[in-house]
Formats: sequence, C-alpha cells, structure tokens
Amino acid sequence: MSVAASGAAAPLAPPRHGARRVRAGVWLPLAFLAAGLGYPLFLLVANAFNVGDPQALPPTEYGSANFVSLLEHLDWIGNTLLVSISATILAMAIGIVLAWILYRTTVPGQRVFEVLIAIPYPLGPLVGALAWSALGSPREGLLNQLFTGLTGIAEPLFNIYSVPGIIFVMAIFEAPVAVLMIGAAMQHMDSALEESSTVFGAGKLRTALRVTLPLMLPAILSAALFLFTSMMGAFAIPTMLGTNARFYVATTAIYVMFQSYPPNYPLAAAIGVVLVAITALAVWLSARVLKSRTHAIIFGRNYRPRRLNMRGWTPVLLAFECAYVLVSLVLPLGVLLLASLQKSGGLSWMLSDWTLNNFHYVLIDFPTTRQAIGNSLLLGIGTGTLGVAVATTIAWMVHRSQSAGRQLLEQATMLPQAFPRLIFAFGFMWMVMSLPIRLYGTLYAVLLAYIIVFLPLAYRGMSGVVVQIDRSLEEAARISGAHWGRMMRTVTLPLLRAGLLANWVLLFMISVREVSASLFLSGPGTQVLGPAIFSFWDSGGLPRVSALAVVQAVIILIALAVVRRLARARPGL
Amino acid sequence: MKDTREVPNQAEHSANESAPSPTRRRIVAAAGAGLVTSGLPFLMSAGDAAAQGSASAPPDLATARKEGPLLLWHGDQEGDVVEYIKGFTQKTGIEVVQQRLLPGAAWPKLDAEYRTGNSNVDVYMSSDAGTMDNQRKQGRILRYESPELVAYAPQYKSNPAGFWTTYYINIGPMMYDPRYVSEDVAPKTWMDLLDPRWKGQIGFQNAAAGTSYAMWFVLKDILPKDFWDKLAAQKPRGYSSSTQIMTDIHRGDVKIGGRVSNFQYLKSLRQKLPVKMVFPPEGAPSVTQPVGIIGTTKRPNAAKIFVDYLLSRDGQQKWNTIQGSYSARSDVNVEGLPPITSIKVLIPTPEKFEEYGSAATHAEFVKLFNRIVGL
Repeated sequence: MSVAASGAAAPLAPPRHGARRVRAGVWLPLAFLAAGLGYPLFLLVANAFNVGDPQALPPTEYGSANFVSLLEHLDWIGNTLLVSISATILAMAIGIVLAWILYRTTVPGQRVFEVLIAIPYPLGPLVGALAWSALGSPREGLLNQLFTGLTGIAEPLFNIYSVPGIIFVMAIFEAPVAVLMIGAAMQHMDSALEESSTVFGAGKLRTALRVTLPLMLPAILSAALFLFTSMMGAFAIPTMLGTNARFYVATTAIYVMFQSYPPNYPLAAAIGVVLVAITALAVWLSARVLKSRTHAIIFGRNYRPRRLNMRGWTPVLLAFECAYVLVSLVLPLGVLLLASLQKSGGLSWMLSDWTLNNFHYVLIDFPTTRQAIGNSLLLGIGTGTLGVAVATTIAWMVHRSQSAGRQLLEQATMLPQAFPRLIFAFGFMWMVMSLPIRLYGTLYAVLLAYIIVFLPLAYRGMSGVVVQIDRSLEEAARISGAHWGRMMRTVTLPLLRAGLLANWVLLFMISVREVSASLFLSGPGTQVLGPAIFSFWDSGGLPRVSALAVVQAVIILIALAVVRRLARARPGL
Repeated sequence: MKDTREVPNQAEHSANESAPSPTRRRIVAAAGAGLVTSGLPFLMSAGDAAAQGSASAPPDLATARKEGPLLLWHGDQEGDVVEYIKGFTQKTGIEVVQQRLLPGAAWPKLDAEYRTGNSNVDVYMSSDAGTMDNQRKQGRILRYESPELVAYAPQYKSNPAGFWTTYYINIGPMMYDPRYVSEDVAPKTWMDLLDPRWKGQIGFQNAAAGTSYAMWFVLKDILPKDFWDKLAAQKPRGYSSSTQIMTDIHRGDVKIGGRVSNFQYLKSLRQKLPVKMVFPPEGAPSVTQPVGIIGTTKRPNAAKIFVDYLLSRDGQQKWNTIQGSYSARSDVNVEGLPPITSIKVLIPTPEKFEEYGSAATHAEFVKLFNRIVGL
C-alpha cells in the first residue's frame, strides 16, 4: 500500500514560464470542494452564532452566547486534546519503531508483518472499542479474568474504561497509518548519511536516533498531523469506553446534545467550530514546519537503503512486532469471534454455550444489517472508484500540470483533514437537507460525504504514486510519436496501476469501517455497517454486535486478500 | 386482520391526511467570506408544515399494500421491533422499514424535514408522551380513532383520543445482579441510592432518554429538593441505553441500575442471567410509551393498519411478549413479570401534561441530568 507523506515528498515541479490559465482539472475539483466543504462550514459557523430559535436555519438572531456557554464546558475540549495528543504520541512511537524495524532492519518476517501491522487500521475503531471492552473490562474482561485466574489477585490488572485505556486503544488502531507513512518515506530515503555516520564510528542506536530520525522528521510530522486530526474527531472509542469513566470528549458531547430534547444545535456547532479551528491551526503549523524543511532527503526515486543487522536486538524487535500484532489484531479478532459465538452475553469457552445463530441473525434474519452490508459494499466500491479518480486528477494537476491555482487546489484538497468527521457530517447533513435536489436520505449523500472526508488520504496516496513516475518514459512515448491517449494507455496508466489499486483498496476498506461521517447521514434504506454496528452495540447485546463486527472484519480481510492475490498474479501491480 | 374493511374515501385522504400542506420558503442569505453560497439552496422556514388531523376514515388493506413500505421510527431495541414487524408483515402483507430514533433526535429531525419538505416518516413509537402531545398541539399528529381504543383507559390515550395511544407501559425499577450485590444491602428506596457505598456504582440512561426525563419528572415533587444534587455527588454514569446498563451490571462493572426499563428483567432471565428488580415504595417512574401517526404520512392506510394491529389484543400480546413489558390493555398478560397491580406506577398525570411536554421543562432536565452524569 503506497501512502507517501505528501508534505515530505518534493513534487516534481514542472518548469514555470509565462502566464498560465486555470485548467478545468483544477477549477472543477476546487468548485467541488468549495461547495461540498465550504457550504457545510458556512452552515456550521452560522449555527454556532445562532442565539435565536436553535433549530432555525438560517439563524434569525446572531450573537456569541454559544461560545460563552462553551466556557462552562472547556473540559470537553480539554479532554479531546488530552486523548488526541497522548494517543498521537503513543501511536507515533509505535509507528516509528515498527516502520524502522520493517524497513531499516534485517529483522525477519518483513513481508508477513507488513500485512499484519496494516490490518488494524481498516478494521477500525468500532472493532477496537468493542474488542477491548470485552478484553479489558475490570471484572469480566478476558485478560483480567486470566490475570486473576493465574495470580489469584482479585483486583483487575487494568481497566480499559479509563483515560489511559481510551488512549491505548485509539493509539494501537491508528498506529498503522504512521507505519505506512513513515515506512514509505524510509523506503525512499538515501542511506548515504546513515552509512557516513557508521563510518565515523557511531553505533546503530546512535545512528538511528541522530541520523535516521531527523531525516524522517518531515514524514513523522506529516503522519503525526494526520493522526492528531483523526483523533480530534474520534467518536467510537471515546463513546464506547468513556461512558463508564464519565469521560466525555467533544464528539461524544455533541452526540448526546443531538440526541437530547430539545437539542442544542448552536452549542454543538460552536464546539464543532472550535475543534475545526484547533485542527486547522495544527495543519497550518505543520505546513510551516514542513516548509522550512525543504531539504528533506526524500525523493521520488526508490533507493534501496542498506538494512541494519541488529544482531542481539533482533529477538527483542521481533517480540515488539509480535506484541503489537497480538494486541491490535489477534486478541481483538479472537475475542470478537468468541463473543459472536455465545448464546448469552458472557464469554464462555464451553462448546455447549456456543451457537452460530448470531451470524444467522445478522446475515439472514435482520434486514437492517443485510441492507447495511450491501450498502457498505456499494459505498466502498463507489468511494474507492470515484475517490481515486478525483484524487488522481488532483495529484496529476498539482504535480504534473502547469495550471495556475494548483497550489490552492492542493491546500483545498487537504482541508477536509481539518474537519473532524462527525462535525463535517453535522454541517453536511444540513446542506443536503436544504438542497433543492433530492439528495437527503439517499446513498449518494453518504457517498459524497465519504469522497470529501477521505480525499486528503486518497490525495496523499496518489501524490506518492504520481511523483514517482519518471517523466522521461512519457516523454519517450511522445517523441516516438504516441499521441496523448496512447501514451496514457500504454505508459502512464500501467505505471499508475499499482498505486491506483492500492489506494482503491484503502478507500474501500476505510469506507466499509466508517462510522462518524455516516452516523447522521444514514437512515432507513441507507443503513451502512458502521452506524449499524454502533446501533447494535447500543441496544443489541454483545454476541450480535460481535457477529456483525466479525462480518465487517471478514469483508475487509477479503478485500486485502484479493488485492494481494492480484498483486501476486500480476507483478506489475 | 380482515381484508374487508370499507374502502376509505380517497378524496378525504388526499385532502385531509396524506398531503403535506405547502410550506413557505426562505432564501438563504447565502454569504460568507470565500464561501461559495450564491445560488445554493433555498431553505424552508420552520412553518407549520403539518398535515391536519382528520376524522377517522378506516383503512383499506389492499390500498395499504400498494402504498409502499411503511416508515416506522421508534425508540425501542431494533431487534425487538424487527421481530415484531416481521410478524406484522406476515399477517398483513405490508412491508415496514424501521429506524431507531430517540425523541431528542426524532422530533428535531422531523422538524428539519418539514422545513425542507423531506418528511417521509409514517408512524412514531416514542418513549416520551409529553413531546408527542406537543406535536399533537402543533397539528403534526394524525387523528385516527382506531376501533381498538375502547380497550384503553383514558390515562393511556391522548385527549381527545386518537392522536396517540400507549403501546406499552415502560416501568422503571432499580435493577442489580445478585452475583455482585446481595439482597440485604441492595437499595430499597430512592434515598438509598445516596448511600456512599454506591458512589460511582449507579447507572442511568443519559439525558437523551425519554425514560430518564420521565423519572425526573415524576420524582421531582416526591423526593427532597436536594436529592438530585446529592445524586450528582454519587457520580452516576450516563449510558446511552438500558442494554448498556445491563451489560455492565452483568459484568459487575456497575452495581445498580438506578432506573432500568422493566423489559430488561425478562431479557436477562431469558439469557439465564441472574437479575433482581427493586420497586421503591415511593413509586416506580414509568413512561406510557405512545404510538402516533405523523400528520404528513404518505401511507395513511398502512399506518392505520399498523396502529390497529399494534393496539389490538393479538398485537399487544406479541409486542409485549417479544419485548418483555406491560401492556396498557387489561386483557393482555406477559408471563414472568410481577402483576402491574402490585407496583406503585408513577406516570405523569393528565393535568401535568402541559408541563411534561414543555421544551422548557425538558431543557431544565437536560441541564440538570447532564450535570448528574458528569457531562
């Protein structure tokens, strides 16, 4: 899966000369983003300043009272920052170490671990929260029971319903993104400086810390920003694990405000605006830092850096990889499978307490989940196809065209990253309701929202692919007399194919696991898996919700397996 | 369900029931620095998009089947509703699609849909009779005097009858798992919840639940004024559903369900999980869960047949057996529950309905209860 740190990747800037016009490939995506993102933002801001009828849109009275009310709830913002920053740091630490082990050392099993480490991200936060509540609840949690059984100590080993528990689960399920982004940069890093360091007598650890790490800093910052903005909008994990701890973040507070009567939309919108402002500030700061590091040693070319033989440390590093796979993949999927087989809410190892009825229920008996599975597959295919098409167009225009406005287009494309998904969905829902065309209550609305919220990720991925295509091959085709269409068909698209497929699968998987953006947008007839699982968690009981989560995981694993099989069958992929 | 009902006067339907009344539109003052808003949509005003209630034209089953799938909103457990509507569809041939929406989400959604002309819901099974009655006053509920109404006592029906009717009585005792709480120490009264031993060990549904609102509403004049502040000091947890409370009770992660919908009792027993109910002597706060037809229903025949069956003896027996709760009909009995006559049921009295349904009272509760559960 090719996800490059776009901030770190130096675009192959074409020569600039003369006045340039704004090409359709630039203004069309700009117009799309201005409408699809700008208008919900406008509605969100307008509502945040609404001090009249809380349900009136557009507001009839404006004022700052909602922001004043927000001062009473600074803990929501503080809690959000606490878990976002802490989980980002933890996820980055895990991600950097794993990426380094995978791509810069000779620790065995790289191919296997590359796949296993990537899987928790598409499995998603719902799976993470559900599984870890079954593993780490104080009394009945499987791990705590095991601890008590082995030691005889009645006190639980740990309590997942706590702030550290929330941070831990958020971090382990987001860490694969850091591995992908930093790993992509590591694979393209010129190792001459590392080798120089070794020549001058620095030890391996010292080289890793003093040379490799600083070289990776742009990619690290870029990944950290991506994780931080994702975590600012995290909803499922804080909601599912925070209730027991009476711990609320901004998104959970907004959700409760949406559910309560009378709903306090203006206050919810004010929180949303503050969250967007914080993430936008982080994006801006990160862009400034990255700008000042234009000497980054990451280029489009592929280097084959020499890997370090860690000798005595190899078993330790291998154990670290195994431990990560255990806590983020094996234990979560294992416990969900066990829970999905139960006749009642407990976790029994007795075969007589097991049944397949929960799978029969979610796949056959329950129309909502059947529909949700079908819709999620459709949306995954739609988001993958359209998202990759839009992202490729944008990446192409930004990196390969000479059109005016392409830098603005790049900035606009990354803008959805500053929107916590739940907040975006909040404004987007108002937008689709107010449109004169019938979009509200259709799958198209959900599809449109997915394409917008996943565009930054798709763009990062496709940028990484586009900048690596050597222009000389295309130029050779043109010199040989091939017209543009033939060049695209015979040279460019074959070169892009592997990246297109990898990004298509990534978009497919994260669409299937999505919950925050679709929570307000799906409804009767447009149910999708994420909200369906969330609803089941809310009122369906552990066995059935686990069965549905297992089904979701199987869909994602099948998608991964298919793409790897394709890649093996056609080495060009 | 007989297929021989009189065919309703379609003209009456279209004039009085099914057609949404036209709404005013407002042009969005679309402006904003750098935002592309010009030429973007028109928003409808709050207006009174409601259809007018009408006298009760009886439904026609053949027409109902052609009206397309009925859209049902509800605040109940999805699994229960799906099981019930499966039986309903088998019996009537009318397809039903459902969406779970608590009153706090449902009414504003309906309001927004009215504003934008997007309303599609036909029937709402709600957990808050107060807000349902408010909607009635705003002319947004269709009046349909089902022949089944005679079986319901006045306190279980709207006044005048036909706008909404109680499809089950949701009684809210305290609950606990005897594996984790022994009977002798378990709370017996509401004031017992203030015992320090339960600090951090009590679970309620959060402020979004109509059942929590009803609990506060019926107890606020019975319990001492400072009860709620003292309850807040106990740091109870605010769950999003009673299922969540029971999951934690059976895991031993929370000791006492402060107010749990009684159907959870039978659900636990059916899963062979030990559970005890406590009906405090002050009374058990209860909700008369109302079902009503939304005024702008596009499927009036199907909606009426749905309500007829839900309120019928057969429908009540099926629904309450599936869910494990009390019917408002005296001729329906669900095995496994203590007789309702043995419980001091606290429900908002008709003279309090104005206050019960008011948005201001709800807002007061939401602010207080959010504080109680630490939000």
